[in-house]
Amino acid sequence: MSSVKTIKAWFQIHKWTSLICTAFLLMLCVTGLPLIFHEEIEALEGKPRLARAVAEGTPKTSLDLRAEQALKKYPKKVIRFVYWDEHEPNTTTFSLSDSVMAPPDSYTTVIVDDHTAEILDEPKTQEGFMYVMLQLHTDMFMGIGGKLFLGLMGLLFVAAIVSGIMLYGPIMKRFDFGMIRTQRSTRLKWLDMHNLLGVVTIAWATVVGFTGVINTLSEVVLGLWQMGQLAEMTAPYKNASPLTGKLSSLDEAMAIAAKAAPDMEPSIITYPGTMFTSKHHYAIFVKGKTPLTKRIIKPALIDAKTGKLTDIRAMPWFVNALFISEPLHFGDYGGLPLKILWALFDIATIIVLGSGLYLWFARNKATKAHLARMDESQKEILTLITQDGKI
Amino acid sequence: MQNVFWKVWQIPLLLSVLSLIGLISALTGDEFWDLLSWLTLGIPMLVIVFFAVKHGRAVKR
Repeated sequence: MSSVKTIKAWFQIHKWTSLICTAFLLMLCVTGLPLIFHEEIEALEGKPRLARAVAEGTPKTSLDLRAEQALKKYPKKVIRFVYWDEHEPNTTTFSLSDSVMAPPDSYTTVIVDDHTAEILDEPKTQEGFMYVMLQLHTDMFMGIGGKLFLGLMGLLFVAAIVSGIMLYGPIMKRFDFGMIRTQRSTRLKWLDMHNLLGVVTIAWATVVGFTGVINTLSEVVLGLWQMGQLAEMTAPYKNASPLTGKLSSLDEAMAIAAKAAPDMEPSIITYPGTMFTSKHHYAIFVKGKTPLTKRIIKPALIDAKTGKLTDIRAMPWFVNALFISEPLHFGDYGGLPLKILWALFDIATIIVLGSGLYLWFARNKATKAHLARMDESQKEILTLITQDGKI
Repeated sequence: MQNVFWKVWQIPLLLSVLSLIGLISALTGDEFWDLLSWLTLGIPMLVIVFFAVKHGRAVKR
Protein backbone atom coordinates (compact mmCIF):
# COMPACT_ATOMS: atom_id res chain seq x y z
CA MET A 1 0.00 0.00 0.00
CA SER A 2 1.29 3.41 -0.83
CA SER A 3 1.93 5.70 2.09
CA VAL A 4 -0.80 8.09 0.98
CA LYS A 5 -3.24 5.18 1.01
CA THR A 6 -2.05 4.09 4.46
CA ILE A 7 -2.51 7.58 5.84
CA LYS A 8 -6.00 7.77 4.31
CA ALA A 9 -6.91 4.44 5.90
CA TRP A 10 -5.71 5.60 9.33
CA PHE A 11 -7.63 8.81 8.83
CA GLN A 12 -10.84 6.86 8.18
CA ILE A 13 -10.21 4.70 11.28
CA HIS A 14 -9.53 7.81 13.36
CA LYS A 15 -12.64 9.54 12.06
CA TRP A 16 -15.07 6.69 12.62
CA THR A 17 -13.76 5.39 15.97
CA SER A 18 -13.81 8.99 17.28
CA LEU A 19 -17.22 9.87 15.86
CA ILE A 20 -18.86 6.86 17.50
CA CYS A 21 -17.32 7.29 20.94
CA THR A 22 -16.98 11.09 21.28
CA ALA A 23 -20.44 11.82 22.71
CA PHE A 24 -20.03 9.14 25.38
CA LEU A 25 -16.42 10.07 26.09
CA LEU A 26 -17.44 13.70 26.60
CA MET A 27 -20.09 12.53 29.06
CA LEU A 28 -17.50 10.35 30.84
CA CYS A 29 -14.97 13.21 31.05
CA VAL A 30 -17.55 15.67 32.37
CA THR A 31 -19.06 13.31 34.98
CA GLY A 32 -15.57 12.09 35.87
CA LEU A 33 -14.43 15.59 36.79
CA PRO A 34 -16.46 15.89 40.05
CA LEU A 35 -15.85 12.20 40.78
CA ILE A 36 -12.09 12.82 40.99
CA PHE A 37 -12.76 15.11 43.93
CA HIS A 38 -15.58 13.14 45.55
CA GLU A 39 -13.83 13.02 48.92
CA GLU A 40 -13.16 16.76 48.93
CA ILE A 41 -16.71 17.55 47.78
CA GLU A 42 -18.16 15.33 50.48
CA ALA A 43 -15.94 17.09 53.03
CA LEU A 44 -17.21 20.46 51.77
CA GLU A 45 -20.76 19.28 52.24
CA GLY A 46 -19.92 19.57 55.90
CA LYS A 47 -19.29 16.09 57.18
CA PRO A 48 -16.83 16.22 60.07
CA ARG A 49 -14.70 13.26 61.07
CA LEU A 50 -17.09 10.79 62.56
CA ALA A 51 -15.18 8.97 65.29
CA ARG A 52 -15.46 10.33 68.83
CA ALA A 53 -12.28 11.77 70.29
CA VAL A 54 -11.03 9.47 73.06
CA ALA A 55 -8.09 9.52 75.45
CA GLU A 56 -4.99 7.86 74.06
CA GLY A 57 -4.80 4.19 74.90
CA THR A 58 -8.56 3.72 75.13
CA PRO A 59 -9.19 0.12 74.14
CA LYS A 60 -11.44 -0.64 71.20
CA THR A 61 -14.70 -2.47 71.73
CA SER A 62 -15.05 -5.96 70.32
CA LEU A 63 -16.15 -6.27 66.73
CA ASP A 64 -18.91 -8.64 67.86
CA LEU A 65 -20.32 -5.87 70.07
CA ARG A 66 -20.22 -3.38 67.21
CA ALA A 67 -22.04 -5.86 64.97
CA GLU A 68 -24.62 -6.40 67.73
CA GLN A 69 -25.23 -2.64 67.94
CA ALA A 70 -25.81 -2.39 64.20
CA LEU A 71 -28.22 -5.32 64.29
CA LYS A 72 -30.02 -3.92 67.34
CA LYS A 73 -30.86 -0.83 65.28
CA TYR A 74 -32.21 -3.00 62.45
CA PRO A 75 -33.40 -6.23 64.09
CA LYS A 76 -35.17 -7.41 60.92
CA LYS A 77 -32.08 -7.08 58.76
CA VAL A 78 -28.93 -9.16 58.40
CA ILE A 79 -25.33 -8.05 58.02
CA ARG A 80 -23.83 -8.79 54.61
CA PHE A 81 -20.57 -6.89 54.71
CA VAL A 82 -18.30 -5.30 57.29
CA TYR A 83 -15.57 -2.95 56.08
CA TRP A 84 -13.21 -0.21 57.10
CA ASP A 85 -13.19 3.15 55.37
CA GLU A 86 -9.61 4.43 55.48
CA HIS A 87 -10.87 8.02 55.42
CA GLU A 88 -12.89 7.48 58.60
CA PRO A 89 -10.34 6.12 61.06
CA ASN A 90 -11.58 4.34 64.19
CA THR A 91 -14.92 3.45 62.66
CA THR A 92 -16.38 0.24 61.29
CA THR A 93 -18.99 0.19 58.54
CA PHE A 94 -21.75 -2.40 58.38
CA SER A 95 -23.83 -3.02 55.28
CA LEU A 96 -27.20 -4.56 56.16
CA SER A 97 -29.98 -5.93 53.98
CA ASP A 98 -33.34 -7.64 54.36
CA SER A 99 -31.68 -10.97 53.52
CA VAL A 100 -28.32 -12.17 52.22
CA MET A 101 -30.01 -12.82 48.88
CA ALA A 102 -31.37 -9.26 48.50
CA PRO A 103 -30.30 -7.40 45.32
CA PRO A 104 -26.80 -5.84 45.52
CA ASP A 105 -28.15 -2.27 45.48
CA SER A 106 -30.62 -2.85 48.31
CA TYR A 107 -28.78 -2.07 51.52
CA THR A 108 -28.53 0.18 54.57
CA THR A 109 -25.16 1.50 55.71
CA VAL A 110 -24.41 1.89 59.42
CA ILE A 111 -21.14 3.38 60.70
CA VAL A 112 -20.17 2.40 64.26
CA ASP A 113 -17.52 3.95 66.51
CA ASP A 114 -14.68 1.52 67.30
CA HIS A 115 -14.16 2.79 70.86
CA THR A 116 -17.73 3.41 72.05
CA ALA A 117 -19.68 1.03 69.77
CA GLU A 118 -22.30 3.73 69.24
CA ILE A 119 -23.87 4.30 65.85
CA LEU A 120 -22.33 7.46 64.37
CA ASP A 121 -23.98 7.77 61.01
CA GLU A 122 -26.24 6.07 58.49
CA PRO A 123 -25.12 7.70 55.25
CA LYS A 124 -27.51 7.68 52.32
CA THR A 125 -25.19 6.53 49.57
CA GLN A 126 -27.81 6.14 46.86
CA GLU A 127 -28.95 9.70 46.30
CA GLY A 128 -27.63 13.16 45.54
CA PHE A 129 -25.47 14.80 42.89
CA MET A 130 -22.41 12.58 43.34
CA TYR A 131 -24.51 9.43 43.15
CA VAL A 132 -26.03 10.57 39.83
CA MET A 133 -22.54 11.42 38.49
CA LEU A 134 -21.24 8.02 39.54
CA GLN A 135 -24.14 6.10 38.00
CA LEU A 136 -23.91 8.05 34.73
CA HIS A 137 -20.18 7.43 34.68
CA THR A 138 -20.33 3.67 35.36
CA ASP A 139 -23.45 2.43 33.57
CA MET A 140 -25.75 5.38 32.69
CA PHE A 141 -28.37 3.82 35.03
CA MET A 142 -28.61 0.83 32.71
CA GLY A 143 -26.94 -1.87 34.76
CA ILE A 144 -24.41 -4.30 33.36
CA GLY A 145 -25.52 -3.67 29.76
CA GLY A 146 -24.78 0.03 30.05
CA LYS A 147 -21.49 -0.75 31.76
CA LEU A 148 -20.26 -3.09 29.04
CA PHE A 149 -21.44 -0.62 26.39
CA LEU A 150 -19.29 2.09 27.96
CA GLY A 151 -16.44 -0.46 27.97
CA LEU A 152 -16.88 -0.82 24.23
CA MET A 153 -16.81 2.97 23.85
CA GLY A 154 -13.57 2.94 25.85
CA LEU A 155 -12.07 0.43 23.43
CA LEU A 156 -13.03 2.70 20.52
CA PHE A 157 -11.39 5.59 22.38
CA VAL A 158 -8.15 3.60 22.65
CA ALA A 159 -8.42 2.77 18.91
CA ALA A 160 -8.91 6.49 18.21
CA ILE A 161 -5.74 7.24 20.19
CA VAL A 162 -3.73 4.63 18.27
CA SER A 163 -4.97 5.88 14.88
CA GLY A 164 -4.35 9.44 16.03
CA ILE A 165 -0.73 8.50 16.76
CA MET A 166 -0.42 7.07 13.25
CA LEU A 167 -1.62 10.40 11.81
CA TYR A 168 0.53 12.60 14.02
CA GLY A 169 3.80 11.51 12.39
CA PRO A 170 2.90 12.33 8.77
CA ILE A 171 1.26 15.65 9.77
CA MET A 172 4.16 16.84 11.91
CA LYS A 173 6.93 15.70 9.57
CA ARG A 174 7.57 19.23 8.35
CA PHE A 175 6.77 21.12 11.55
CA ASP A 176 8.28 21.66 14.97
CA PHE A 177 6.74 20.24 18.11
CA GLY A 178 4.17 22.54 19.68
CA MET A 179 3.44 24.54 16.56
CA ILE A 180 0.08 26.32 16.62
CA ARG A 181 -0.78 28.20 13.45
CA THR A 182 -2.89 30.96 14.90
CA GLN A 183 -2.94 33.35 11.92
CA ARG A 184 -4.07 31.24 9.01
CA SER A 185 -7.52 29.92 9.92
CA THR A 186 -9.60 28.84 12.89
CA ARG A 187 -9.58 25.31 11.54
CA LEU A 188 -5.79 25.12 11.37
CA LYS A 189 -5.49 26.61 14.86
CA TRP A 190 -7.77 23.96 16.31
CA LEU A 191 -6.12 21.20 14.30
CA ASP A 192 -2.78 22.19 15.84
CA MET A 193 -4.31 22.41 19.33
CA HIS A 194 -5.93 19.00 18.82
CA ASN A 195 -2.58 17.51 17.81
CA LEU A 196 -0.58 19.16 20.59
CA LEU A 197 -2.97 18.33 23.43
CA GLY A 198 -3.61 14.88 22.01
CA VAL A 199 0.06 13.95 21.73
CA VAL A 200 0.96 15.36 25.16
CA THR A 201 -1.80 13.40 26.90
CA ILE A 202 -1.30 10.10 25.03
CA ALA A 203 0.08 8.13 27.98
CA TRP A 204 -2.46 9.40 30.50
CA ALA A 205 -5.45 9.00 28.16
CA THR A 206 -4.39 5.49 27.15
CA VAL A 207 -3.88 4.37 30.75
CA VAL A 208 -7.09 5.94 32.06
CA GLY A 209 -9.06 4.77 29.01
CA PHE A 210 -7.78 1.22 29.18
CA THR A 211 -8.15 0.85 32.95
CA GLY A 212 -11.68 2.22 32.55
CA VAL A 213 -12.40 -0.59 30.09
CA ILE A 214 -11.02 -3.12 32.60
CA ASN A 215 -13.29 -1.64 35.30
CA THR A 216 -16.34 -2.25 33.13
CA LEU A 217 -15.49 -5.95 33.30
CA SER A 218 -15.89 -6.13 37.11
CA GLU A 219 -19.00 -8.37 36.96
CA VAL A 220 -17.29 -10.65 34.46
CA VAL A 221 -14.21 -10.87 36.70
CA LEU A 222 -16.38 -11.60 39.75
CA GLY A 223 -18.20 -14.36 37.86
CA LEU A 224 -14.96 -15.97 36.72
CA TRP A 225 -13.57 -15.88 40.24
CA GLN A 226 -16.77 -17.38 41.71
CA MET A 227 -16.73 -20.22 39.20
CA GLY A 228 -12.99 -20.77 39.51
CA GLN A 229 -11.05 -20.12 42.67
CA LEU A 230 -13.99 -19.64 45.06
CA ALA A 231 -15.63 -22.88 43.88
CA GLU A 232 -12.32 -24.71 44.39
CA MET A 233 -11.77 -23.25 47.85
CA THR A 234 -15.26 -24.15 49.04
CA ALA A 235 -15.55 -27.51 47.22
CA PRO A 236 -15.47 -29.57 50.46
CA TYR A 237 -18.60 -27.71 51.62
CA LYS A 238 -20.54 -28.24 48.43
CA ASN A 239 -22.93 -30.76 49.97
CA ALA A 240 -22.75 -29.60 53.58
CA SER A 241 -26.02 -29.02 55.39
CA PRO A 242 -27.18 -25.38 55.58
CA LEU A 243 -25.73 -23.14 58.26
CA THR A 244 -28.04 -22.75 61.24
CA GLY A 245 -27.88 -21.10 64.66
CA LYS A 246 -25.47 -18.49 65.89
CA LEU A 247 -22.45 -17.67 63.74
CA SER A 248 -18.95 -17.92 65.18
CA SER A 249 -17.25 -14.84 66.63
CA LEU A 250 -16.06 -12.11 64.27
CA ASP A 251 -13.22 -11.19 66.62
CA GLU A 252 -11.88 -14.72 66.64
CA ALA A 253 -12.19 -14.94 62.87
CA MET A 254 -10.24 -11.67 62.59
CA ALA A 255 -7.52 -12.95 64.91
CA ILE A 256 -7.17 -16.13 62.86
CA ALA A 257 -6.98 -14.18 59.61
CA ALA A 258 -4.37 -11.84 61.09
CA LYS A 259 -2.27 -14.86 62.09
CA ALA A 260 -2.57 -16.40 58.63
CA ALA A 261 -1.55 -13.15 56.89
CA PRO A 262 0.66 -11.35 59.42
CA ASP A 263 1.77 -8.33 57.39
CA MET A 264 -1.63 -7.50 56.00
CA GLU A 265 -4.69 -5.70 57.29
CA PRO A 266 -8.38 -6.52 56.92
CA SER A 267 -10.32 -4.65 54.25
CA ILE A 268 -13.72 -6.34 54.22
CA ILE A 269 -15.54 -9.25 55.83
CA THR A 270 -18.25 -10.88 53.74
CA TYR A 271 -20.90 -12.92 55.51
CA PRO A 272 -21.84 -16.50 54.58
CA GLY A 273 -24.29 -16.66 51.67
CA THR A 274 -23.17 -13.41 49.99
CA MET A 275 -21.71 -13.44 46.51
CA PHE A 276 -18.12 -13.20 47.68
CA THR A 277 -18.01 -16.39 49.74
CA SER A 278 -19.72 -19.76 50.32
CA LYS A 279 -22.88 -20.39 52.30
CA HIS A 280 -20.70 -21.62 55.19
CA HIS A 281 -17.80 -19.21 55.43
CA TYR A 282 -16.93 -15.75 56.47
CA ALA A 283 -14.50 -14.48 53.83
CA ILE A 284 -12.06 -12.00 55.34
CA PHE A 285 -10.28 -10.18 52.56
CA VAL A 286 -6.91 -8.91 53.72
CA LYS A 287 -4.77 -6.35 51.91
CA GLY A 288 -1.18 -5.10 51.92
CA LYS A 289 -0.05 -1.75 53.24
CA THR A 290 1.55 0.18 50.36
CA PRO A 291 -0.61 1.97 47.76
CA LEU A 292 0.11 -0.91 45.36
CA THR A 293 -0.14 -3.96 47.64
CA LYS A 294 -3.25 -2.43 49.22
CA ARG A 295 -4.94 -3.36 45.95
CA ILE A 296 -3.81 -6.97 46.02
CA ILE A 297 -6.19 -8.74 48.35
CA LYS A 298 -6.34 -12.29 49.67
CA PRO A 299 -9.47 -14.09 50.81
CA ALA A 300 -9.22 -16.03 54.10
CA LEU A 301 -12.17 -18.38 54.41
CA ILE A 302 -13.29 -19.08 57.95
CA ASP A 303 -15.93 -21.66 58.76
CA ALA A 304 -18.71 -19.59 60.35
CA LYS A 305 -19.78 -22.52 62.55
CA THR A 306 -16.49 -23.88 63.89
CA GLY A 307 -14.56 -20.64 63.55
CA LYS A 308 -11.64 -22.44 61.88
CA LEU A 309 -9.60 -21.21 58.91
CA THR A 310 -10.21 -23.55 55.98
CA ASP A 311 -8.25 -21.80 53.21
CA ILE A 312 -6.37 -18.63 52.33
CA ARG A 313 -5.09 -17.92 48.82
CA ALA A 314 -3.74 -15.20 46.58
CA MET A 315 -6.31 -14.00 44.05
CA PRO A 316 -5.88 -14.99 40.40
CA TRP A 317 -4.11 -12.51 38.11
CA PHE A 318 -7.27 -11.17 36.48
CA VAL A 319 -8.74 -10.14 39.83
CA ASN A 320 -5.47 -8.39 40.73
CA ALA A 321 -5.50 -6.69 37.32
CA LEU A 322 -8.99 -5.34 38.04
CA PHE A 323 -8.06 -4.00 41.47
CA ILE A 324 -4.79 -2.43 40.30
CA SER A 325 -6.59 -0.75 37.42
CA GLU A 326 -8.99 0.98 39.83
CA PRO A 327 -6.60 3.59 41.27
CA LEU A 328 -5.03 4.13 37.83
CA HIS A 329 -8.48 5.08 36.60
CA PHE A 330 -9.57 7.12 39.64
CA GLY A 331 -6.33 9.05 40.25
CA ASP A 332 -6.92 8.89 44.00
CA TYR A 333 -3.58 7.43 45.03
CA GLY A 334 -1.25 10.42 45.26
CA GLY A 335 -2.91 13.10 47.33
CA LEU A 336 -4.69 16.27 46.22
CA PRO A 337 -1.96 17.43 43.77
CA LEU A 338 -2.37 14.22 41.78
CA LYS A 339 -6.14 14.75 41.72
CA ILE A 340 -5.64 18.28 40.39
CA LEU A 341 -3.33 16.94 37.68
CA TRP A 342 -5.94 14.28 36.91
CA ALA A 343 -8.53 17.03 36.45
CA LEU A 344 -6.18 19.01 34.17
CA PHE A 345 -5.54 15.96 31.99
CA ASP A 346 -9.29 15.35 31.98
CA ILE A 347 -9.96 18.92 30.80
CA ALA A 348 -7.23 18.57 28.14
CA THR A 349 -9.01 15.42 26.95
CA ILE A 350 -12.31 17.31 26.79
CA ILE A 351 -10.59 19.91 24.58
CA VAL A 352 -9.14 17.16 22.35
CA LEU A 353 -12.60 15.59 21.98
CA GLY A 354 -14.34 18.91 21.40
CA SER A 355 -11.79 20.16 18.88
CA GLY A 356 -11.94 16.80 17.09
CA LEU A 357 -15.68 17.18 16.74
CA TYR A 358 -15.28 20.77 15.53
CA LEU A 359 -12.65 19.69 12.98
CA TRP A 360 -15.02 17.08 11.60
CA PHE A 361 -17.80 19.68 11.20
CA ALA A 362 -15.43 22.26 9.71
CA ARG A 363 -13.94 19.73 7.32
CA ASN A 364 -17.39 18.59 6.27
CA LYS A 365 -18.35 22.17 5.59
CA ALA A 366 -15.17 22.79 3.61
CA THR A 367 -15.72 19.62 1.58
CA LYS A 368 -19.34 20.56 0.91
CA ALA A 369 -18.35 24.04 -0.19
CA HIS A 370 -15.76 22.48 -2.47
CA LEU A 371 -18.35 20.09 -3.93
CA ALA A 372 -20.80 22.95 -4.37
CA ARG A 373 -18.19 24.90 -6.31
CA MET A 374 -17.58 21.84 -8.48
CA ASP A 375 -21.31 21.53 -9.08
CA GLU A 376 -21.46 25.14 -10.15
CA SER A 377 -18.58 24.82 -12.59
CA GLN A 378 -20.01 21.58 -13.94
CA LYS A 379 -23.34 23.31 -14.55
CA GLU A 380 -21.51 26.03 -16.42
CA ILE A 381 -19.69 23.46 -18.50
CA LEU A 382 -22.95 21.67 -19.19
CA THR A 383 -24.65 24.90 -20.22
CA LEU A 384 -21.73 25.66 -22.49
CA ILE A 385 -21.87 22.23 -24.06
CA THR A 386 -25.62 22.34 -24.52
CA GLN A 387 -25.53 25.81 -26.01
CA ASP A 388 -22.65 24.86 -28.24
CA GLY A 389 -23.87 21.52 -29.43
CA LYS A 390 -27.54 22.57 -29.48
CA ILE A 391 -28.63 19.29 -27.93
CA MET B 1 13.79 8.71 7.56
CA GLN B 2 15.31 7.80 10.96
CA ASN B 3 15.99 11.46 11.63
CA VAL B 4 12.49 12.56 10.70
CA PHE B 5 11.00 9.98 13.05
CA TRP B 6 13.24 11.11 15.88
CA LYS B 7 12.56 14.78 15.20
CA VAL B 8 8.78 14.26 15.34
CA TRP B 9 8.66 11.85 18.24
CA GLN B 10 11.44 12.74 20.66
CA ILE B 11 9.41 15.21 22.74
CA PRO B 12 6.15 13.20 22.68
CA LEU B 13 8.08 10.06 23.67
CA LEU B 14 9.85 11.86 26.48
CA LEU B 15 6.54 13.25 27.77
CA SER B 16 4.91 9.82 27.57
CA VAL B 17 7.74 8.18 29.49
CA LEU B 18 7.55 10.92 32.14
CA SER B 19 3.77 10.45 32.40
CA LEU B 20 4.11 6.70 32.81
CA ILE B 21 6.74 7.13 35.53
CA GLY B 22 4.34 9.50 37.28
CA LEU B 23 1.36 7.20 36.93
CA ILE B 24 3.25 4.26 38.39
CA SER B 25 5.43 5.96 41.01
CA ALA B 26 2.53 7.15 43.21
CA LEU B 27 1.23 3.58 43.22
CA THR B 28 4.44 2.15 44.61
CA GLY B 29 4.83 4.40 47.62
CA ASP B 30 4.01 7.65 49.41
CA GLU B 31 5.90 10.91 50.05
CA PHE B 32 8.89 10.82 47.66
CA TRP B 33 6.95 8.72 45.15
CA ASP B 34 3.95 11.04 45.31
CA LEU B 35 6.21 14.04 44.80
CA LEU B 36 7.85 12.32 41.82
CA SER B 37 4.44 11.70 40.25
CA TRP B 38 3.38 15.33 40.70
CA LEU B 39 6.56 16.51 38.98
CA THR B 40 6.54 14.03 36.12
CA LEU B 41 2.82 14.47 35.39
CA GLY B 42 3.08 18.22 35.88
CA ILE B 43 5.62 18.60 33.07
CA PRO B 44 3.25 17.61 30.21
CA MET B 45 0.70 20.12 31.54
CA LEU B 46 3.36 22.85 31.70
CA VAL B 47 4.35 22.03 28.11
CA ILE B 48 0.76 22.66 26.97
CA VAL B 49 0.61 25.94 28.90
CA PHE B 50 4.01 27.01 27.50
CA PHE B 51 3.05 26.52 23.86
CA ALA B 52 -0.46 27.92 24.28
CA VAL B 53 0.92 31.09 25.88
CA LYS B 54 3.77 31.37 23.36
CA HIS B 55 1.43 31.28 20.38
CA GLY B 56 -1.28 33.30 22.11
CA ARG B 57 1.30 36.12 22.48
CA ALA B 58 2.38 35.79 18.86
CA VAL B 59 -1.18 36.62 17.80
CA LYS B 60 -1.42 39.77 19.87
CA ARG B 61 1.78 41.22 18.47
